[in-house]
Amino acid sequence: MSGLAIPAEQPRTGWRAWISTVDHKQIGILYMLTGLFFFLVGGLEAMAMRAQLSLPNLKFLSPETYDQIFTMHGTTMIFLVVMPVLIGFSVYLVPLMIGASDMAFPRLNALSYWLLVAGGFLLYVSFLAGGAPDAGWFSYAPLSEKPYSPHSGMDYWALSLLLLGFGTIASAVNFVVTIATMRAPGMTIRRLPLFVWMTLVNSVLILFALPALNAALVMLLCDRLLAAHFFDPARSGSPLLWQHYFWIFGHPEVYIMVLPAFGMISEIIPVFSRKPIFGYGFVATSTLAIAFLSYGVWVHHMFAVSLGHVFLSVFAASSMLIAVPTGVKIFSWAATMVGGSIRFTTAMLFAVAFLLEFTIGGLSGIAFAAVPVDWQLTDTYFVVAHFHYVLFGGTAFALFAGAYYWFPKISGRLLSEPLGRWNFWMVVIGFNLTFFVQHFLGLLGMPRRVYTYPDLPGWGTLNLISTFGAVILGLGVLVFCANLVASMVFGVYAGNDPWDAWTLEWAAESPPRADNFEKVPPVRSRRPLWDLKHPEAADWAAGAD
Amino acid sequence: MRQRARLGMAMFLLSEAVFFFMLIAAFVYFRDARTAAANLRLGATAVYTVCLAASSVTMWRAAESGVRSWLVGTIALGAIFLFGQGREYVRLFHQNVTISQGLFGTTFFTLTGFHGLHVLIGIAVLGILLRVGAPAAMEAAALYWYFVDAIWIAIFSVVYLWSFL
Repeated sequence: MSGLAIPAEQPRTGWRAWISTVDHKQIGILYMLTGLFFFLVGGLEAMAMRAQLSLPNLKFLSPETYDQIFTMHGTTMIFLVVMPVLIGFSVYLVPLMIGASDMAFPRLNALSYWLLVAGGFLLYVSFLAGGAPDAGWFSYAPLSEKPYSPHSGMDYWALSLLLLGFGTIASAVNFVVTIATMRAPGMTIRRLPLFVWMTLVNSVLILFALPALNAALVMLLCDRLLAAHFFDPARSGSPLLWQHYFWIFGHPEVYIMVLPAFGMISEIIPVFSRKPIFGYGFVATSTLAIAFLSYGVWVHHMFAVSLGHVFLSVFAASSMLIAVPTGVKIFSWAATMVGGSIRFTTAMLFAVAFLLEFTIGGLSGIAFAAVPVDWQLTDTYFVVAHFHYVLFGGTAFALFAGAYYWFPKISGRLLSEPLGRWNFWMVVIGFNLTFFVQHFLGLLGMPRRVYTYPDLPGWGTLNLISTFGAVILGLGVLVFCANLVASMVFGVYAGNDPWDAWTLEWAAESPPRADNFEKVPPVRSRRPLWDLKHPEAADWAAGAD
Repeated sequence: MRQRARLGMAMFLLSEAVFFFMLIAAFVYFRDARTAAANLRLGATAVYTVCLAASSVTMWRAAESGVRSWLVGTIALGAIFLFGQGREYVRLFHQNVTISQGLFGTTFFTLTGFHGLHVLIGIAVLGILLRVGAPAAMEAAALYWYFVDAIWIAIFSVVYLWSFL
């Protein structure tokens, strides 16, 4: 590899080190911080929407601005927050968890990150270049086509998502190769930490799902920039084709945004219950079932399109079926806690809250799988409530749990537990106030994606409660940010293994040295650190995997 | 390193296969065999297709032997294919078949255009490998080249052969 090798002398500190880094730990941190930044931006957009919706017939935001804000909020939260933060955790943790010194392709890893920065920049520069995209994060045709969205916002949207898509695919390639070829001796596929398992399955999902979006995006760009007619009904193109393509990507995307979160929960709950995970094999293989089924459910986003009863029935059945492997996981986590000596750290509180909130979101999702229910509730706030329970109550809660759990490894210091309690309760109360009432608004028929609403009985009150909850939620997030900053400076030193945990990352220093391990501990079971600390009761001696 | 490069390329090509599958599916969704048969030239394209297929053989020889002239031959065959595609495009433009002129043009140019772009990128990569050549990079590039050729066989079958049936 002469002439292509990575420069040997890498400065490890200073801003030059950060922008030139190919170290998976620094890149992971950059991913997470970038995601946090966009989380605050997307959160501000949400606040602007909640302000506009706090009372009936408000004129705080114009309809045009509202369309831009809700499009940017959705696009930001999905592509610039959830995915980067999840990938950031994986980039940071996967090599440590499998006992490797870095990712398989360190420079590709850095490229993925910088594509994220470029994509985020491109999306937001649209505000200055004539207006942000305004056709929703799903960009249904023909609304996204030139005649209906003539300014350049949609072009920026599509180009930005293409860049982000390339970066995500490159990350997925990197994860697959890293996990396939760089595991420490003894780290068999059946001994992989579940977070690594989920990252692996997730990467395969990405490899199949993101290119479908990329194809749809280049077709949209051809329509908009070269006057092609893929999705233009006036020239016999098909808006329905966009919907199919977008949701063939879009539904696996939902699982892409939640599987790594499942992985985090599968690491955190056992450690704070002092029990190995219940049904490791079931948790791992149910993930494969979810990944497989997630490609066969996309039409449930399109039940309101008349597609024929047989077609709808098949997709209703598959959508209900996918709840089964997800339920298996919920029961595994619950069974892990049963009989354990549970320590309610902030990380564990968020993990338990994840179980409850995600289950609510999952159950309202099963309700939608029934076509007549979907017809009644589609495009109402019930849908908004549903997917925020899955994505905030699910993924974001898991991310908070993961932040409290792994921050000591990343920074060397513990996050403050008292601030953590404030963070936790404000987020839980704020979140449920904001979104639980939206179930009722949906049942009352309030349409989503509309900038205001008439003064009908109950609507104003429920919306005001929702906005009030959003303020508490926002403040709770600020408490989290304050905790990050304060604990970086004043936090208690964590030591290598503050939680008495079992996976390999806790054998490294906190923060880990440049090459991660001086010596990787022997891996003879799923809990190598348990074996190290308790040779008399080692898992491998007891015959466990 | 070679194993990693191979596996990494294979995973990337998996995602590429999905990308092309979606573009081919869009072509089939809007299929207009009459317009296709009226405007496309089957015979000439078949010859260029043979050139591209032959380039997979020269690529294989280049990766096996490391002899530069096999690589030069591969680049030349790839360039001939692109030349053929360019001629087809120019002829279609003269017949007023463009990307904005009906759904056949839209789907045809998007699909074959992205394939042509992949061939072009492949030629650029092989050009770089003429100067700096790690065995791992050569193997990965070879995989990419086989893939681009195989995708063309699929596109040729759907876009050309099926239209002239």
